[in-house]
Amino acid sequence: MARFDPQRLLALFKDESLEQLGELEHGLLRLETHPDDSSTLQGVFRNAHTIKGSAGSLGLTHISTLTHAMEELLDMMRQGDLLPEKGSITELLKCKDLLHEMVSGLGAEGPAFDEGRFAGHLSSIKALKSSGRIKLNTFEILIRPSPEVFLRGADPADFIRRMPQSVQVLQVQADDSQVPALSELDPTRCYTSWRIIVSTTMSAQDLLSHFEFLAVDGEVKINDSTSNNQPALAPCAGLSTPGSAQPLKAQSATIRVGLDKLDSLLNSVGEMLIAQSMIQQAIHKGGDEAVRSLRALSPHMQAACREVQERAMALRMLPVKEVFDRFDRLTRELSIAKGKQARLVLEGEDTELDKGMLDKISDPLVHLVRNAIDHGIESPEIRQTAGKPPEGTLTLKAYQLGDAVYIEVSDDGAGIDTNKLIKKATSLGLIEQGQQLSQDEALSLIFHPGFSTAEQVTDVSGRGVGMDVVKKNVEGLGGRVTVKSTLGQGTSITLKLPLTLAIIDGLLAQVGDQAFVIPVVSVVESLRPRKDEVHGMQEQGQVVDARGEVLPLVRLHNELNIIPKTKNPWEAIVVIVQSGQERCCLLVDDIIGQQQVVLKPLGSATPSINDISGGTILGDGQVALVLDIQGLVERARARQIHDAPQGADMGGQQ
Amino acid sequence: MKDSSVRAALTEHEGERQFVVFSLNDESYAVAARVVQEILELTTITPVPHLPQHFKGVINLRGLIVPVVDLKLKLGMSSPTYGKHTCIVVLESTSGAMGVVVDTVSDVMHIAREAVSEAPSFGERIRTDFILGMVKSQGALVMLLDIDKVLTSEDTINMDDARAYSEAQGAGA
Repeated sequence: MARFDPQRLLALFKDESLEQLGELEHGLLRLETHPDDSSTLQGVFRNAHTIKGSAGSLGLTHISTLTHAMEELLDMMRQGDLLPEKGSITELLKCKDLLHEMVSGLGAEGPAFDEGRFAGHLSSIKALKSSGRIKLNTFEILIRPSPEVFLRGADPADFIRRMPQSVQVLQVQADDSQVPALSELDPTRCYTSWRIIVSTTMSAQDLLSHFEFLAVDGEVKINDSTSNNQPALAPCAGLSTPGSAQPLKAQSATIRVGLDKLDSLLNSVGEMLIAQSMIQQAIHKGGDEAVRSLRALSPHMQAACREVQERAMALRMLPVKEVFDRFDRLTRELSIAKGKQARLVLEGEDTELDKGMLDKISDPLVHLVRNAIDHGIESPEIRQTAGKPPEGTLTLKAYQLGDAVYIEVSDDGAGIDTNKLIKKATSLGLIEQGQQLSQDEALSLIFHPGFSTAEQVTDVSGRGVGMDVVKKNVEGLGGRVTVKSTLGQGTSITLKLPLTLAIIDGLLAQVGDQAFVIPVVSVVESLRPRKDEVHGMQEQGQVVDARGEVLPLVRLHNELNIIPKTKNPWEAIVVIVQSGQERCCLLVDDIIGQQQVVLKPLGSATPSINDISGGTILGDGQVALVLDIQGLVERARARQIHDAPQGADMGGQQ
Repeated sequence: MKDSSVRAALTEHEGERQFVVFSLNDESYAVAARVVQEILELTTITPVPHLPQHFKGVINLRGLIVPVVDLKLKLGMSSPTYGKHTCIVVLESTSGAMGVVVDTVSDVMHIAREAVSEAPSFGERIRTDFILGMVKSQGALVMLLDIDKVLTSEDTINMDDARAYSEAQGAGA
């Protein structure tokens, strides 16, 4: 029989409460920027409530009193009696900090917490509570600016965007019914009117003064609609406002799927069912007849199954936003903990990745972000001495290129000192004394297990601790990790992840009698150069002067061993493509058009080729190859280096 | 869908196996029917650059892209232009579905185990591990190919030598 053990219970409470407090803080931070997010408010309330309950049952009166006070404040927010704005959030965060101390101090010697602060927080919560009983008004604002409003240098949209802080915009409707046809449209006139619903502590009069400028020659009406207050319009009233509906965080085991994806899956399932019933019929025939029919039907079934599989896989594709979102807080927390200033910039959050893949790169990304803040970004003082802004920038960027998704974690911090790396590697015996390493080779040392150059290994990370794990995880997914770093300017680590199924925008280009797909993401522009814009040799080392920019000419027919319709660039088309920082001109015979294509692998039995990322099936049923621009440019460059002596010689003669 | 086991059960009666017989430059070869997925008319093959010469390119097999190998080139024979009987046999190799170009598909044969004579040893000069055996059919010699070994081997195979050698051996036997 288990004995009642107060010590064990206390430890359990501590663990649980610290976890709850972590969530509570996260929720409060989110509420500050998303005051109308009722599900977050609910979550925060639940956190406080849970702590209060357990503390009460353990007889920890102080903790339960404080959480009770917090809970009351949060309840007012739920009722819409108090706005979750900076003042109240800050107070709640302070209470949370004190609670954190109180909980961590449980069972330890000495005074558990500061009585004075405890009393102080209780009274400030009380003050907030009494101030909070301000009535929130809901107003409907109708704005019909004068058509000449632009001529006076005013933009009505600006006024709507820059509402006073205490105004919460619930809904904006623009009426563009008065906008005339394009041919009659006068861009200097304003044709639009607006209907805005706001919730605010301000009076109608104050609100009107904000729009005074528009009211001079236009029309601004403010109606009080508080009386017919619909619950949906009240902020934080338990129901979310339209457009801000968000699934509760606890339901992360579910995913959201576009209706079109679901419909196409259902279509395929339908086809599979038809194939199944045909097989059923075939079986009834019996004997040789059945065998023959079944054999004929097998490919049908196979195709249907594959389609279902592919479409089901597509359901698993999620935007990387799911993972990126958590880094906001991590950045904030870590930079505070490390006394650094870091700003997180997210790019390409809509890039889709398989859910399984997303789950598996989440931890590696945490490692990378931690490393970047702990060791990449310098302290504000050092940054200023180096002539950089005190606030460091951490960029998380996702994009798709060909058949791969790239996730880049870059910072504008100190960069990695390769000399230090080499010294360390030498002392660890990883490389021999005096061994010459290229920049890339030296940088890749950080992926060696147990390698850390952080002079002080901190609780957060030592640069290199975990880098081997990052590498292993990513390679386990069939991906690749590359690191680039410039001392004093920053580090950028790129994860290249494979993609099984992708739809890409492609430019269809003709070379000889074959069509190729050039991914539009890599295309800068396409043009037909004039004869005098093409310089250099007949075959090798040619350049094209494209609008003043001199770019190397890569003859696709040479790279792909095809007989072209013409070898003269001025009779064909050059497509200017970009791979990384590099640009070049691809010579093609013609451009057929642009279309979305489904990127498919060339079959498992096909050897892989570095300048072809896959194939796609065109409308006429033929296969067109999709070019891997990065691979193509690399190959062409390697060739040019190889052919350089010859090219240089002939260049000299001209 | 992996139905090869079912197919194997249907085709492999006691001691008798089914083979699909085809010709390459007027000589007969056969592969086990259970690895044959389907037989297609010659369709447009999209060439893929940088691949070994015997890889003719890829085709669209109902939405799936499948590589196509010219079996004659793979076996070191000459491969003149394709004719109207030329077809593509889609096989399930261990590395995935793959099409092979053959001159004509002539027959599906039931071959009894006893009828198969072992591939003669050609000495060290010629590999024979891709030949399952040989049978005499209507006076002609049919080579039974282990198509998986043929397709996955990296080396060039010189089938003309092998055949000349085995025919000489067969005549002597």
